[in-house]
Amino acid sequence: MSTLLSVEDLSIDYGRRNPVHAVRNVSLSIEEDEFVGLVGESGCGKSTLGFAIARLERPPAQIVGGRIHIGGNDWMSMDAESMRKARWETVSVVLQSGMNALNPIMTIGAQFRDVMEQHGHRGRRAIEERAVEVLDLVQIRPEVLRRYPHELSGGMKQRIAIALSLVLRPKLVIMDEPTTALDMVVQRQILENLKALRHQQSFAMLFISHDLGLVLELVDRVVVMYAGEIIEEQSSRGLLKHAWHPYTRALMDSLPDPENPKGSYQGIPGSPPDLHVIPEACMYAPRCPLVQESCRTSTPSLETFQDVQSRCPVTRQEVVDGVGVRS
Amino acid sequence: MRYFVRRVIILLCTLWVAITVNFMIPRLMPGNPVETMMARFHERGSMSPSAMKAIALMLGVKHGNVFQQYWQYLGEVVHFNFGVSYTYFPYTVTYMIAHALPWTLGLVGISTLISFGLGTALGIVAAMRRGKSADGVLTTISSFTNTFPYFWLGLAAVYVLAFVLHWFPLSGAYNAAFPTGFHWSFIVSVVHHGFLPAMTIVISSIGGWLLGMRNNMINTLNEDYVLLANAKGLKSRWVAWMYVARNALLPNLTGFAMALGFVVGGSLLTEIVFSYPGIGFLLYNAVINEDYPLMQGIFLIIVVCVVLANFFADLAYVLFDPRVRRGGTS
Ligand SMILES: Nc1ncnc2c1ncn2[C@@H]1O[C@H](COP(=O)(O)OP(=O)(O)OP(=O)(O)O)[C@@H](O)[C@H]1O
Ligand SMILES: [Mg+2]
Repeated sequence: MSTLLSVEDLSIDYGRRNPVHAVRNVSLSIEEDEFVGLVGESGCGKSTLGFAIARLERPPAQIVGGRIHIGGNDWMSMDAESMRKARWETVSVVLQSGMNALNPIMTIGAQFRDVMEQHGHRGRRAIEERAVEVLDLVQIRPEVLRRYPHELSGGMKQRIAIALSLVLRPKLVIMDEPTTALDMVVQRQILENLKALRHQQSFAMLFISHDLGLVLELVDRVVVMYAGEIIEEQSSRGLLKHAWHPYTRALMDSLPDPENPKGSYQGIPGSPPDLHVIPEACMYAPRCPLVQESCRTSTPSLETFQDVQSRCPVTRQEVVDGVGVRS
Repeated sequence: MRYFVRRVIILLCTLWVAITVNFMIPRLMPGNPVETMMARFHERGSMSPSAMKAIALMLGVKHGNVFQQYWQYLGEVVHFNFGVSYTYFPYTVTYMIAHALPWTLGLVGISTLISFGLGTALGIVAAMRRGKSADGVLTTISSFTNTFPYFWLGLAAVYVLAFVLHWFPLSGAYNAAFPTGFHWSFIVSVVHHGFLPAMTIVISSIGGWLLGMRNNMINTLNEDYVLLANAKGLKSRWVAWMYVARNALLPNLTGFAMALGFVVGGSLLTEIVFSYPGIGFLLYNAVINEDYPLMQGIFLIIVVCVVLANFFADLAYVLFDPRVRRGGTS
């Protein structure tokens, strides 16, 4: 396996005067065909990061530092026309609100056709065949090609959006909360679709969600963000055994217990910090049950230890000391 | 199809209400217009009572009770028979309107089309270059021309370009020296006469279309499907037209249809300022001369135009917005 996406030291601000430092010094890489999950509370910068990787950031968002390489191409310094051609063939996206992601005045078929034609595919028949093929991957009948978005249910639209994202065989698909707006049953079906997809077409995925449970079912590796930074990153298997960072632990604890699904849902007390001024301290310290004096006076760095990246020196010391390892 | 039938029913109902109101208004007004008219004839010179009676008959003095009159009136409306004009006696109201309407439709209709088309196109340009200098120039000029009072603009144009500089004629729709018809000198004279009033209409209304379209475009640019269109790596012109402009145009369609509906009614000021022989000018003369049959006929035409414009706006929606096409409400 070789590295497909590499993000180094990426920082994104909203606004110029008194900016919100929404994403700070994020480094992240995705291997070919790897599924990576990006989780964290609402407002921690997941979408901001995901859109910037696809170079879809819109004002007032702006990339203020860092590098993005995809498949060996410098994704930050391409000219407009090469960028246009590389889009969707290299990176495609699925948006949270699949309902609004389709143009209301074009048929579904036309929205498959335009992207294929403008990326050099020729022949109505061939284009339609390919559209039918990807629709089949998400169990949607070819008839929808003649329909308009308002004639379809939310679940269908979201599946169509997923099919659309695969139509040019991209190397990376970024999905931003693709199931959040849907009810539980449809959410389940789409998750099963996504799991099956990787056996049918090869692509890597960055799956953005605030639902850690969902993410753990689907992806190989989980990246946890808090207040604009990555605070933990490890394989799904590893995370299921042992979460290192206290914030990740809190996320794990707030998952519904499979043995007691009706049990009380545990939220994380406190609220995320303001991102205008970044303190010289651990961002999670005000809410952390394990907080120590040093956490409030210095910024902890992301360090790799036993194949796990974590920003918490306190829990890392626990592992070194051989205590606190959960089974 | 159900949609179409429903629209037609609504159209017929509206027309009926308009016609009925048009019937009632003169009957609710104080004074008897025919008497006023007869008095005026009387002043011009002594007339024998038998002559008076003949004129009264020609002017169509109504007989019978209100319901009989109403029934008779409906029959006349269906046959486009609105009686005889008091002012332009012995010409009928229908004749006068038929001769004024083409000028108004031509002048104000074409000006409205140009204003809408150009304003919308420039609004698209401004929105796609928002924040750049082209946008700044267009927006500033539009906000400025939008605030001109029309009357002032028209008078200034007449005074400077026609009265002082003699570049354009002061009044009329064509040069009476040429015979009417489809030949070069007549057409040139029509364009020459129509240019100034058309220009003032375009200048005073284009800013509204431009700013409205720019605003709709900027709202539409924030839609998820536009973000997705950019992610798809579509050509920017395609995105600007198929994803942004066509969606942004939909809310403006109603406004445009309404503007077309007001073409006939809204021509009053222009035609007075430029002494243009259209419906507005005719209405002005009718009001001055208390010519009730003519006024009634013109009001009816104005209302019918507005109602028809609404009807066609609804149909246009069906063409442009698939959401209305199948099972949409309203
Ligand atoms: N247009 C904007 N202007 C200013 N700040 C913004 C803007 N959009 C987002 N932000 C800020 O950027 C931060 C990250 O937002 P982002 O949408 O990336 O979060 P998220 O993790 O995707 O949240 P969610 O789970 O709700 O989608 C938030 O704190 C938010 O306040
Ligand atoms: Mg988000």
